[in-house]
Amino acid sequence: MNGLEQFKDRNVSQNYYRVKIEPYPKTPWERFKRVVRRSLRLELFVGLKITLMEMLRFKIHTIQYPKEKLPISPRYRAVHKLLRLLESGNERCIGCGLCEKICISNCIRIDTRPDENGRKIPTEYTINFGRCIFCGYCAEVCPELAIVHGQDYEHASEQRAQFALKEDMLTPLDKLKEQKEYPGFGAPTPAADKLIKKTPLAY
Amino acid sequence: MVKFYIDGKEVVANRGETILQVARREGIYIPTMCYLSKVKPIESCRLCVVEVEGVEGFVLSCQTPATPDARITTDSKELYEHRQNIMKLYDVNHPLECGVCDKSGECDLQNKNLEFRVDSQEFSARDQYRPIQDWNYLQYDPSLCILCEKCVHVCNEVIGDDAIEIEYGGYKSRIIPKDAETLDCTWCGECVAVCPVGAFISKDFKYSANAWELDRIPAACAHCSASCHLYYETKHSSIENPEPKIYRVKNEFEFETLCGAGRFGFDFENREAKKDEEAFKRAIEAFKRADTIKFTSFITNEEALLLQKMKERFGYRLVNDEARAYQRFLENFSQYSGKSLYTPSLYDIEDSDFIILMGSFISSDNPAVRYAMTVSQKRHRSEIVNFHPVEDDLLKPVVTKFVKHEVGSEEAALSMLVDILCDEDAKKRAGKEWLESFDIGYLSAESNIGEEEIEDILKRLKMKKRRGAKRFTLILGEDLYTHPRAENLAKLAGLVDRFSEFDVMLIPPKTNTLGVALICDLDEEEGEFSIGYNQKGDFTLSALGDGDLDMPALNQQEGTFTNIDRRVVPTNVALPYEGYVLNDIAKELGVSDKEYTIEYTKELPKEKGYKEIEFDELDNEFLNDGTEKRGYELEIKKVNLSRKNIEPIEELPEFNGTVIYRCEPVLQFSPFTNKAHQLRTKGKLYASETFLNDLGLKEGDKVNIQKDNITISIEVERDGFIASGAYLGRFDKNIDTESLFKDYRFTEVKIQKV
Amino acid sequence: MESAFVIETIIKILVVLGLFSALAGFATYVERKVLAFMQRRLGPMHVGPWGLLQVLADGIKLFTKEDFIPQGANRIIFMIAPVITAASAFIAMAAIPMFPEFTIGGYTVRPIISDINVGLLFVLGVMAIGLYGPLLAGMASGNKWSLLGAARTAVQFLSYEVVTGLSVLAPVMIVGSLSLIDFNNYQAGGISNWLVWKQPVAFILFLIAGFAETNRTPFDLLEHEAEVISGYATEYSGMRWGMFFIGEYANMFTIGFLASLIFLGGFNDLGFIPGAIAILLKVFFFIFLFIWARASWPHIRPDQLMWLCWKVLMPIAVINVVITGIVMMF
Ligand code: SF4
Ligand code: SF4
Ligand code: SF4
Ligand code: SF4
Ligand code: SF4
Ligand code: FES
Repeated sequence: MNGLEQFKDRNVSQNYYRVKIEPYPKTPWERFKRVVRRSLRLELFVGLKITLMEMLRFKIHTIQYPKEKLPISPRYRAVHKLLRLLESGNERCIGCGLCEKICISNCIRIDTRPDENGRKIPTEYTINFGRCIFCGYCAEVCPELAIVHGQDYEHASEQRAQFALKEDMLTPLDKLKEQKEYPGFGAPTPAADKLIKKTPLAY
Repeated sequence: MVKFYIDGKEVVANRGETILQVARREGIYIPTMCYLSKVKPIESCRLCVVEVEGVEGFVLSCQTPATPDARITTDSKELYEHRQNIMKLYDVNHPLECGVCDKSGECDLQNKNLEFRVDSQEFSARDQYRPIQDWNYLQYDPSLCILCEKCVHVCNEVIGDDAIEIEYGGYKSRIIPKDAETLDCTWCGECVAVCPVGAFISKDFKYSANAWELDRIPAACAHCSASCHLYYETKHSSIENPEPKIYRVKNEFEFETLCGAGRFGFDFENREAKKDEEAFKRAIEAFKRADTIKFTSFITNEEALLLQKMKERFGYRLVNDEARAYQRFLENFSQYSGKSLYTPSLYDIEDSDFIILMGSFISSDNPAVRYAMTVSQKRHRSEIVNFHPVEDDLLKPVVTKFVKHEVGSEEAALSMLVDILCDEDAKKRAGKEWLESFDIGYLSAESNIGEEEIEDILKRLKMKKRRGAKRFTLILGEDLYTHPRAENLAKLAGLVDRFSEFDVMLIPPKTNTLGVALICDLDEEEGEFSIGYNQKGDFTLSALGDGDLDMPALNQQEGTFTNIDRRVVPTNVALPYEGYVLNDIAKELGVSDKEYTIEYTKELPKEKGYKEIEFDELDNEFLNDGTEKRGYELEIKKVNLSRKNIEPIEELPEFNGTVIYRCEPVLQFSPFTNKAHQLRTKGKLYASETFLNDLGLKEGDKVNIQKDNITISIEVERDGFIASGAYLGRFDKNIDTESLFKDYRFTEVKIQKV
Repeated sequence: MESAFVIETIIKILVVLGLFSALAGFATYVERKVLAFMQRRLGPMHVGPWGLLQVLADGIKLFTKEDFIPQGANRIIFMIAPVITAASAFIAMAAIPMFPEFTIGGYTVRPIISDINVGLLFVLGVMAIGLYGPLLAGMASGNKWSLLGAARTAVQFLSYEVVTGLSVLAPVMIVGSLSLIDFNNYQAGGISNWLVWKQPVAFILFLIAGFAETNRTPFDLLEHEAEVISGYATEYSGMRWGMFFIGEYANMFTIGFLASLIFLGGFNDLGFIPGAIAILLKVFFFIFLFIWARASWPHIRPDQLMWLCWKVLMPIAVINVVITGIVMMF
């Protein structure tokens, strides 16, 4: 994919240039002059030359998707993932329901109940990707960094409603080591530690 | 009347009103954490402080009555900082667990922290180990508790259980069961309702939904005649099942109180019902054949009107024994009191200075009346006298005098009351025969009510009157309506109402007994072929889902009830219902031409005091100052007095051997409460310790109860709330207790251990 | 002799039909590839090596697609309109001598289906008939876009027919014949004998008109997506649409052959290159030119198109004819 890295550079604005547009001819005389000028300068052939040269140079930009794929930004907002705690492997989601509440397309639903230890757990967590608009609000609001956006953007389907269940999104226990922290929406900023006021402790 | 100013606005206080009460009535905001309108000021939070011009320091607005022309400021920089600091102190060691807390979204602590912009903490204290307590329906988490004491006060001042108290200990302070290892109370759940944070919660609801997800449906409780205002809170059942389900019940806890059955017994809906056309056809056939409709009073006014219309059209006999007994009692009562209805409401009971209760096991018959009595007792130390054969320990904290009488001697008791409460003139109205038959020595001996007890009551009454008591209430219950001498009892009650300072209240035994009694012409005798509505009949319509045709339960219906306050209160549909309703049958029979049952709300009989108001026009709310705006009150009409004399007192009936009582255990009212998943239980014979000892029984024994040729096998359970006797309930539809109690609520039986 | 002639003609017809259908298909592939390369793309890549079998895949697709006729359409006309386009395109080829004569097993084959002495007129005439295809299709579809496309067809084809006719008039005057074989023979003397040198203006005019007649960019107004969806073909799909498509490509070849024959020395040997190859090269140059122009130029507005035709090209063509006449007189 190395060669493709260049396309990640979205910062292209410095290469823009302004097209000079000459004033529009108003009188017939001016129009005639323009015809003559254009004919003599053989502008049509300039066009032909450019295309021909491009063909001969053969500098092809096509990415052969799905054989080749462009790398995406780590902050890209693709299909969601539910993360686990790195040390214990417990699910991060505490079932607070904030994501469910904030979701503007109303496509998250969770069922919660107390588990054996009396802690609140989401027994089921679904997102309807047929309705999700990948706005990232859920990831931003989540106090536990539990629901985040993943990198998997290939989820075309034949049906409008397309549900992902908890087991589809949750990091499998054996893949815990590969779980990556999401740097996008809702993640703490690098300077977060400095901004936080600490609560005093009595001991 | 005191005129003063809050934030420059001129306001007027009634006598005894505090600054906070006036402010709330006027819609001026003063933050509080511990204030609960229905109890006395608790004064634990100090958030309600205000500044009074010319007064040093802050003043607690929740307990300070206004002084004339005082100028009060509710907000200033100092007040803000003071309050902010209080909030910070509340936050010390408060777990950061809003994410999972049940209260999140409706938590006073959350709200006030936000209001006072608490974003950092300077205070700290050593944290304590405070484990979560698990108390049957409830859970208590001391680390979330802010010790506002609302729960303690409501339990003591309103419920009357006095089951919890504060254990003081600085940062270790917490709520504990009073004088007990673990909590054993009537499980009203009112402590959960009033708790401003997530410390007291319902175990069943815990972690199942968030406050903001639930839809609130204002309704009236369908279990007893108080028809308390409540909200059913619904949400989809689960991800797989989008059907709505009731998750919990909430109430306007500032102003009114629910009992445990209302709070925890909410899922009694007829869920499975479908439009079964075959069954419907059979039902229509049955209606064409039938000559009787038997029903209970767990119906709405509109349904009662439909039944009445059917009767008028097809001549059905409407049979409803309990409502019929009440109806007759009310009729006889009116003929001697001159009023079509009784006058007192629950508010009047709360305001009463002297209350006499007779013929009702009130803590299970009608908890709302019990709470009202508790309030009156705690608020102004009212005198409460209870006449009953069964001693109810639950009433101990409120009842100031308990008079235990023999079973069946209510006539004697009421006569003795008439004797002391009414003047000579009134007694003469009762008639010569009655006066002659009034032999206090005999009555006292037979009923076991000592003359000195009656004198004691008189003494207490005189004392109260000397202290300026104004309101007196006599509350009568179902024992009297079912009594063989009910007619005479009703007349005596009418006399009391008319000729003494006592107002008489007749507690309607079931949810809409009063409504049914007013709307339907009831018959005594059953015919040959009967339709049963929530009753066993030859063809049964049932909202419990066990009949021949399904009917909607009362949380699936809209309509009105006529409650104990003589108020017509609306209730709404909390859960969907797919089957047929009574109106469908009425339409098919050509009786009804309306699409919806509630179109009958405005047609309820005006001559009985109902008003011509559309269902959708009925209010259903409480105002800021606690004014109840629900539906409307029935108009009380004048009734022509009867000129007949009251019959002489009969010889008192004798009840020998084993006598059991008919009443429901606390938290149960009917098969509907027993259908709710939290309350579901098996019917038992509930017996007091003494009863068990007398018969040589112990808890868990199986016994056969025999009467005439009826035998019922049942398990025995010890009920710690009664000091004597035993009782059977009707809430378990699998046990046919009905046949044991044909009329009176007491019956003689044989009990054998098996 | 008669039956041999019939068999020969039938074979020739079949060869022309088959060959040009295949060529049309191949031309689509070439067009896509060339366009892609000129735009720094790869074009079809997935079906076969370098997407070579894409044509096949498209063919299969076109054949198997549902053939439906919209409710509001005039069924019969709607159904035969594409046939007119395809048929006229192939019929026009009947009078075109494609290659020099050759002998197979002593039998001399003349690679022209019918050498009529007014060959040029025939070709132009039949090609002009082709305009009925889009015209009728557009009017029969019962669709506003189609109708607009049809209207554009009428003005565009009619106008440019004039320019085509006038532009070839001058070469015809010089050669003195309407048979295309005569044209070919007239230029037999090598590159210097090509008519293009004598009639450069006519050549350019003919080429421009050719673009217009074949409905190619920059004159593809009939079915310009941005303006009229797909013009007259909006309602067409499957093989019916395919016939329009084949017709267009067949016309490209016809124009290619005509231009080669009239102006660029036809199938005469070109130095060491044998005549058959030479004409193929010339034809393919024109095909490439069509594609190349499509990749390079934007299309023009209908009013500009008309302006160009009536106010520029036609006067020039007339002047060209007059000057040619004057030169020939003296
Ligand atoms: S990304 Fe936006 S729309 Fe999608 S689930 Fe999250 S909050 Fe809802
Ligand atoms: S916001 Fe986060 S922790 Fe809360 S329910 Fe959603 S995923 Fe779970
Ligand atoms: S009690 Fe209130 S502040 Fe405390 S955790 Fe619960 S919601 Fe949050
Ligand atoms: S449930 Fe009711 S009776 Fe029991 S402790 Fe709470 S308030 Fe008191
Ligand atoms: S449990 Fe709730 S109501 Fe009771 S003291 Fe604690 S915070 Fe107050
Ligand atoms: S409200 Fe007055 S002290 Fe709490």
